[in-house]
Amino acid sequence: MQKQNAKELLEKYTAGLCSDEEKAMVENWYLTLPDNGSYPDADQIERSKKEVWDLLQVERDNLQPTQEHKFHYSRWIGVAAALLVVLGISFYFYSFNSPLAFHEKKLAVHDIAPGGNRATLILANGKKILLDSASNGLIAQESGIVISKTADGQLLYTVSSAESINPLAFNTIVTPKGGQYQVALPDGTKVWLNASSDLKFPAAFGTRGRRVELSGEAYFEVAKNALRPFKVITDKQEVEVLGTHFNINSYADEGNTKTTLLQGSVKVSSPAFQLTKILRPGQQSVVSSQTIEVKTVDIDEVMGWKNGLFIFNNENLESIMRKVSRWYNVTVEYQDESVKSDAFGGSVSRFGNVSEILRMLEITGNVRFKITPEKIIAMKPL
Amino acid sequence: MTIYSQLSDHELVSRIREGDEASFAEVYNRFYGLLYIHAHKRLRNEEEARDVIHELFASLWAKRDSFSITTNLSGYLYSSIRNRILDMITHKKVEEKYIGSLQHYIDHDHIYADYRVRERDLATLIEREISFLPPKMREVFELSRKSHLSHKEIAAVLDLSEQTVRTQVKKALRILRLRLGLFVYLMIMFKYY
Repeated sequence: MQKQNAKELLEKYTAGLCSDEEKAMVENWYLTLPDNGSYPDADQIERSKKEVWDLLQVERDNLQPTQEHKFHYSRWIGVAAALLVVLGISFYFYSFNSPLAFHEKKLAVHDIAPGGNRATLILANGKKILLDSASNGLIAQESGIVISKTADGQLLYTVSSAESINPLAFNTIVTPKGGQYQVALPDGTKVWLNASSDLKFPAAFGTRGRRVELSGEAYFEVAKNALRPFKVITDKQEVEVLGTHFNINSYADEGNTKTTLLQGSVKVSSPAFQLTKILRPGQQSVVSSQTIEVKTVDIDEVMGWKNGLFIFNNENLESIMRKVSRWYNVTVEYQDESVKSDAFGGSVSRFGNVSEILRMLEITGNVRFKITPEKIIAMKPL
Repeated sequence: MTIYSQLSDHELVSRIREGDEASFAEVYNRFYGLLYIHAHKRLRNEEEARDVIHELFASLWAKRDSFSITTNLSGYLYSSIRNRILDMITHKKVEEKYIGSLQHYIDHDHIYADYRVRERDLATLIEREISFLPPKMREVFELSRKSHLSHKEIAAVLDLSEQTVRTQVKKALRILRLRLGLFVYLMIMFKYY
């Protein structure tokens, strides 16, 4: 196509005289227009919205439809005509207020803040260190290992002197309900701990293998070392890896242990029934009281918690509320058993107050909640 | 009582054709915020952004009879705002930098996407700003995008198996999640039947 003059092209476009090709060119260019103008703030948006609406009101009274047509009475206009000003006011009021405004007031009276970076570190000598309030920098030193807090929610283990390492010195990190923490072990392995979990590990790994014990949920990025396999022991299973990324969910109240592999390769074994399965990336093993099952899962869903999200996919309310309970450190009660098995799907930030999640669940129209100082009560909708 | 926030875009279009003012108000409520942000960021001028949207809605009401049953509401609004912004740009005094940008675009060969892709890209561009809306406005928009149909009903309408619908919904949710991953405070919830 011949090179066009931009100004002429634009004028052609706004006059509606462009060929399809020319239209395509302008409209594609439009998509690339820099949009680095500033964002209008919320007040500005609200204000201009009201201003424009007022202008439209004035004009609408004077506007006639462009063609002659039969006058349609909608039920709404008929009623409005009958009640004039009163309805006119309530019509604007209705338009500008979300029907949920009423609900908002009810739910937010007691609200619960989300979890955060909270954990306790228990050293080999039994000393307990509360990590939330500790300042960054050196936390402790023992048997050739330096433990420091590098940032909010992150702990780093480094070897200071290889000779004095005592592979029998165990540390434990414990997250309470509403807590989460990240640890970098001396071999370079990184562990993210979810709420209500604990990880027991040697302050320094010995020469033969790397062995840690977990209860609750954690995501691991294990540093590669073919000579020293990494093992994660949980109540019902053992996972062995060489170097890999995976998530283990082994909360006691979940009924089974789920291991999800993102990268690398892991071997999952259950001592109870002498079964072993090897996982490939994208697969999840579920160790129950009967057997080990392997299936393919949605990684984003499993890893939501680590990325600051709750992600549910056809998950029943009871399971959803167990997660809410751990993160918000709150008890959940059911006034109506029927809502427990309703399934929901969606995604929501972990860092809002609990009322935000509950409100979104309520919008589906299938459950109602009440937040009291002691607990959350789930009920049938009205 | 009809809850307008629960009417689909499609239902609102047919009601507006019949002169239903409440439906017009609902469309205004749903789309004002996103259209304003879109205009404001490109025109960089409060008055001009406001004028463009004012004219858009005034024209929408005036020409409501000419809506066809199949009008895609959001597509119509997004194309209209684009055309009005381009019109404003063409006649503005500071048009030079836009002209320069377009000339540069013309002079360098591009592959031009067809109109369906352009439409979809434009919708994505505009709806991407949703996290910058005041909370109530955002809620109104999100609510309107929530489908009330169960998988069974969707399957019946589209003549697909329920399983296919379930898989598609799952896929769609995944795409939304990935796209919206940056917006930490964005929430979508719906119920499985």
